[in-house]
Amino acid sequence: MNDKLLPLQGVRIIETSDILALPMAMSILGDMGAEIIHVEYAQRPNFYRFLGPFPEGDPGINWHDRSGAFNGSNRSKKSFTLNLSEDSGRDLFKHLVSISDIVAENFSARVMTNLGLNYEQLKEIKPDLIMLSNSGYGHTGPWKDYVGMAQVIEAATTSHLTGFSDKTPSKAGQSIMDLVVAWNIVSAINMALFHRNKTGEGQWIDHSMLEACTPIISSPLLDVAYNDKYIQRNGNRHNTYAPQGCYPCKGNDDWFVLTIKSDDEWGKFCDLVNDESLSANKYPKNIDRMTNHEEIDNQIKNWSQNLSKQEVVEKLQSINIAAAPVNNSRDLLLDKQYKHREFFEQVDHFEETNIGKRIYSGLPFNMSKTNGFIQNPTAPLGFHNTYVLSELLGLDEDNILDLEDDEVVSEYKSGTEVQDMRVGNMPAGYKPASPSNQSLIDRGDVREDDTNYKNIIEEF
Amino acid sequence: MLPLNDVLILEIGSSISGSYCCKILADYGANIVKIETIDGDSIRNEEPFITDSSNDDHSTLFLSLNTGKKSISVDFDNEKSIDIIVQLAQKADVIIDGTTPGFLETKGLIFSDLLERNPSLVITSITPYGQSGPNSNWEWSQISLEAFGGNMYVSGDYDGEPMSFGVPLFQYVAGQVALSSTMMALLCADRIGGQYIDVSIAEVVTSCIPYALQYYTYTGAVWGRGPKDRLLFGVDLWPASNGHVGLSVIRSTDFEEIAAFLGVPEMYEEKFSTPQGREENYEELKSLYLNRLQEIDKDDFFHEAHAWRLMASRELNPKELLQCEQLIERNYFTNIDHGTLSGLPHVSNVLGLNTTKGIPTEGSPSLGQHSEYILSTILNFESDVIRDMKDKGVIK
Repeated sequence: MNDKLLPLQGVRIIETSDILALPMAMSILGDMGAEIIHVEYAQRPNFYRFLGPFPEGDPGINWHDRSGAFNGSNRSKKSFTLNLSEDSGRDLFKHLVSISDIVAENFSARVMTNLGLNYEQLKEIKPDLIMLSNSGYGHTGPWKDYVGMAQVIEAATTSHLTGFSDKTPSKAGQSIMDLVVAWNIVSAINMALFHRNKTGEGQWIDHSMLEACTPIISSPLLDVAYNDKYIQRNGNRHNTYAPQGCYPCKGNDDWFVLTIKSDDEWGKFCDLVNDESLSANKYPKNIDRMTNHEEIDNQIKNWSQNLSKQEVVEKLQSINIAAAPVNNSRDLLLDKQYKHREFFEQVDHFEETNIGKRIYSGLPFNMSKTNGFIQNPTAPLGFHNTYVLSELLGLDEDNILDLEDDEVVSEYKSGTEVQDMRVGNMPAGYKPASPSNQSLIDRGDVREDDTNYKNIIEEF
Repeated sequence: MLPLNDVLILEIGSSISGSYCCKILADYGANIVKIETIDGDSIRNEEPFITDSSNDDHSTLFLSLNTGKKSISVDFDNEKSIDIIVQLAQKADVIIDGTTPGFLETKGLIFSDLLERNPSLVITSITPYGQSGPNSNWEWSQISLEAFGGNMYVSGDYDGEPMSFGVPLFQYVAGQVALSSTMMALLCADRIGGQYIDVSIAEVVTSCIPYALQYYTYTGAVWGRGPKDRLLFGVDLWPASNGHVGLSVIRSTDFEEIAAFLGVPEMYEEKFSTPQGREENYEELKSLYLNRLQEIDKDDFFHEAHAWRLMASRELNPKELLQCEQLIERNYFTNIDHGTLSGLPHVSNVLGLNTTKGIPTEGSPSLGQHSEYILSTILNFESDVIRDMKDKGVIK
């Protein structure tokens, strides 16, 4: 594919960020052709670099380039290391801003102002700058200094409505609100770009994670505002149809889900199952199925637990009932639908990282003319320093050497101290912990240690 | 002047994702023509309802998703109606399509024809599994997409069944994906013309579990629902006196801070000082923590924890979120009238733009409220032609 055909070709974004939401948003924009320059301080690299998982469980000497959590949300970018606590570092940053379109950051409100790098200050050098500041609650209001991460935002929005009726409010998935926020950021930046292209006017985007995620419950919000009531959490059940649920199948932790949306579908289901208790179709009316849900759940379970999840779903889809297997990571990588659509992308990493080939989710949409894709695997820390300094900023070799000597620009050195935000400053040679798969199985985080995974990647 | 002031967008189909996408586009200035069937968007019939003074029911979901749009109701089985849509598509910049694959084709609306007639048109379809592939015609539900996409497998308790969200979260994320991709197509439409975009909601779900996927492709570990003992200071919520709260340990020093903040001297004991020690003495620490939480008000907890600079969570129910001082201070909720219903709170400036704020100004339309207006102002139909179409049931 010709890069020139990507929608964001020619847009340059400077990113200073950490954790998941903003980095992921920038990777998506990078996939779509924007040039993303990810600025990090080499001796205090992003938190996700410490998190793993590391290839084959081994952090290695250059662990900072080998973390799956980091590499999954920092592809399609250039990596530039810069020390913003030095005057000369900030000058370089400003120079870079002056030749870019967008700055995206998720420092706390005070930090960018103290560095002299907030929107008002940067606008002086780049009048049509678009700048996005992502924070938990926005940079104004009584909570402007409160920190928010994905689980905090989830607790304030969907958790109360999620979980089983006899249990606590629940978090679902993994840092899901970071992904909601990431897509909101992608939309916000494109909206601001569209406006700038039309009017020449840049702007500041005071992006609040809470405000990005609240629309998900806007229907319950109207219900409570007007009726003073709202839906109660009810596990996997539907508010108006029955049965809906998640049921066990034959196999190790294998499940399927179904939703019966009408009496007619229920009749077809009973015919299919042809079990004594179900074929009698004791509850032909939805309202009776709602009140006898548990009894029906048990009957469905008796039927499904002797069949594989693929078998069950095939049978149900053949009579047009909404059913699906509960897929795990391996199921997804082997899935025929995703294979057909080439959803996953196999990436061969930079040689010096010694990661080899791995697989990542691609973008969840296809475009007929300008389809986005992973432009480059996550770059080693500081890999693009020379490109940024000499090609973009026009510095000569002596300038660059001076900056390196003063540690304004430097690559990560394993022979020096490094700051892991979890444990503070760590001595030279530090490696983050990497729990074994067996220990994760013992804890219950992991269900299975599949030794065949490399073949699956290889044959992908 | 809003970013999308002169952009004309057609919305077709009954889908949360398509409607949410167009709601945000409307907030930022786009002219949204919502093309409904004669019976209307089926979301109009979804519970819960708000009942107005004439005893008519209005779906809260519909009201929340359709602010600022104009509704035209047409008979999809009538050739004249299809011709209206074709003519609108010639004037439009974007079509957001939330119908199932093949539906519009059977009605005579062929995307390639529409793109040929209007080369700068952007068409974005949002479907459960995408337009192609063996599952493209699968029956679906919210929960089936969460299951298929992999989010359910990593949600819930270790010894319990996989769990889904209590709200259609991924429909909203798919709406954001459609919004993002549509905006990018608009950004390059000058250069390369219009195009077709195919959003798969199942793929949206899968793209939201990067950690589990990376765990497998980096180590072969199949990540599930765990750990067996929910972390006391991880991402879960625990019961305080009047609701649920949580504290996350990120830095190694956080635990000491938490002990001080909670004021539980026993938590300073040596055996709790390391992550391993806290794991080995889990039950004891759990009872210390939960007993203390019993005495604590969740709101005091939340605000005081932030004064200690701890990462604190607090469960809010929808009523409490509506009264959230931070959202109110930032004018996040805009009150809008809808017919005889007054002052319904709607989310505003969701994208956070500081200069061109996207704020809804009009309520959600009644079915066919703007049929005549759309036909006369956009397609320049004469009023007797429109009347005739109404009489013959082509439009409502």
